Amino acid sequence: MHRRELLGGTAALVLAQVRWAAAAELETLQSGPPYRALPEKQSKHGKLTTVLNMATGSFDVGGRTLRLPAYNDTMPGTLYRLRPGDTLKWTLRNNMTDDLGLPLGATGANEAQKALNYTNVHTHGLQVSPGDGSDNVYRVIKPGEKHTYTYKIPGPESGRPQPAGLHWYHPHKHGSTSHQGWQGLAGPIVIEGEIDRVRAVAAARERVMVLNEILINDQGETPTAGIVPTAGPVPFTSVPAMPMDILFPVNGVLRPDIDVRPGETQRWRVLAAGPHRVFHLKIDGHDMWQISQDGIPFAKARKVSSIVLAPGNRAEFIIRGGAPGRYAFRALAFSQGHPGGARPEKILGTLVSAGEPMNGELPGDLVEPLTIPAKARKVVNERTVRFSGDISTQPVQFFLDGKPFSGSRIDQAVLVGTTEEWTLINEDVFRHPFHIHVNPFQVIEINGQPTNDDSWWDTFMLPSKGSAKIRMYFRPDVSGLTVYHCHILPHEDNGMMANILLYGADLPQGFGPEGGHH
Amino acid sequence: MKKRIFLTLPALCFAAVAQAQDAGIFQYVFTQSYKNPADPPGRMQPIRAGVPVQVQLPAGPGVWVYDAGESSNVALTGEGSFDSPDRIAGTDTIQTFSFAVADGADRAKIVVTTDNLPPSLADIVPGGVFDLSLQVVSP
Repeated sequence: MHRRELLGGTAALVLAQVRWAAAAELETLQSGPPYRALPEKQSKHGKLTTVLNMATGSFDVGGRTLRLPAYNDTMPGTLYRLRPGDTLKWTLRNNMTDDLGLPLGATGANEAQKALNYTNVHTHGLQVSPGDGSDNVYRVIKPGEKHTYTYKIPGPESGRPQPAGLHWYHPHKHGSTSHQGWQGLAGPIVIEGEIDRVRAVAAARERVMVLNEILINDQGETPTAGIVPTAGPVPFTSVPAMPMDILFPVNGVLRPDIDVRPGETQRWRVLAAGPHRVFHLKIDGHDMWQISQDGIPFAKARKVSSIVLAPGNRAEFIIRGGAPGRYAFRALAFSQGHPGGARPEKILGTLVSAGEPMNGELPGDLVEPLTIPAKARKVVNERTVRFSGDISTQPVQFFLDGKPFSGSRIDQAVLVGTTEEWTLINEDVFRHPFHIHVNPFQVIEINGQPTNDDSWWDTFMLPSKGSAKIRMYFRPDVSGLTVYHCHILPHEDNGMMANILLYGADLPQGFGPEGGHH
Repeated sequence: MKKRIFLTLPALCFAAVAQAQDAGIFQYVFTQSYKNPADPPGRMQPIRAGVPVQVQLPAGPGVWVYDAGESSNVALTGEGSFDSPDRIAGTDTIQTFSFAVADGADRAKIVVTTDNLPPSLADIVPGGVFDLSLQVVSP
């Protein structure tokens, strides 16, 4: 007899999930801690100059004391507001220490553990140079070191200004990206622009929300160890093993109460900053009027009942407060291919509608949508990228085109100023989110079927054992070497990343498109 | 201020579950990934006394069986499984074994075996024997 039949394990799991969901229901009836707005800084006279100091802090999350590194003592990091054409300059100081999250009995960090504190920073969504001194993800900043980054955000003079919306920053040192993601190291960047002047959008109260996914051991520290997948409520364990839990705070607060007045409109800008969890967002009793995806505004608001955010995705939407009451803000159960079935539902917070009624305006038409320039609409090249993996081993292994990441290889070379179509074939059951730096893309087919969707993405979750075809225009004014990868960060760290050379007339000798261009 | 609500017995049970969720589900979990053929024989994993231990292994159609005779200073407290098709070749399930370590023990050993090991796991769990040696440390 099969063991499952003997034990009825699946039934037990379902029952357990029902109990968790019911427990979560009860939590929404009880008041939670207040919503927290993040500290923020705004550019002045076209410039924003600051420091990102990474050092250990102590944070009270859900009644637990966590010891985690943070940017400038706030978890998640400060919100930075800029405009197209601005220059952002920051000095990243790595003051992280190697005394956190060590396995029981360890007398100090070994070299591999120390390397988990090597870092850099990536400006996810900004269409800026990937060169050194700008958004160079190959740069390594060890503890005690610092590095200054300067980003020239494309303005109107470029002919293709940076879209106005929610973008973000996070560590991107290959090998430690997920570890630092588990620690909550992330922060939002808001680019302001035309959509902010649309009347219904401008009138809505803004909330910028960072959804973290904090992996901690029983000491309240992120394990400094290899991480491998498991089934059950906590989706990972470590090697060496440590007891673990996983928390989903909103702006560093576990299950906050988010206030709204009945009829009031609010503009929620939501970032999925976790390394692994897909957030299928729903607010009980409330529709969402989505106005933007991955920081790129729509032409017209779209009324939806839920929104799926893979790691790295952002969505902006308008809600209008319902009748007085308490409404759960949920991450619905979602099957993302992780072992053991769907990740369970989580209550992220509670929308609390109370106070004097308002009559907020819902959005309709928004802005001129982003398009590919007419002169570059001809598709000059097609490529295929295959996603695969093996989780039976330690470390787990993930591949693009059958190969793990190597920093000494050019996997794709693309002529800037052209348009290409890439077919992304997922041979895996995991729903890998494809992310590419610098240039966003449109998804034109899923499993061979046209999407008829003009949304732009910089991160798109592939179907399990399926495919997506994307269309990308490579802006002509940004060249250099950068990467594309799975944005489930443990997959990226374990190999699922590749290099792309964006070249112009100054093509270095020896480089060129594999399939040729016309 | 806490909102007053009338708690039924099931609600009280759920409240306890919610409290447990806040307190975390702290247990040691070991999978096949813990086994590295390069590790020396008898490698010990330190664990804190009083913390539950769970072993999760890929199964289906193969079945893992707890070997009480080869194990020591642990009590099997539960078994279960999760459907998990297409993750590891030759398996469609994750089988779980939960244990409590005996009070006062400073060493413990867990052995589970299968006689139907898929080729994908042959080098990871040689012979279909998953053995785990634990060093128990006072909290």
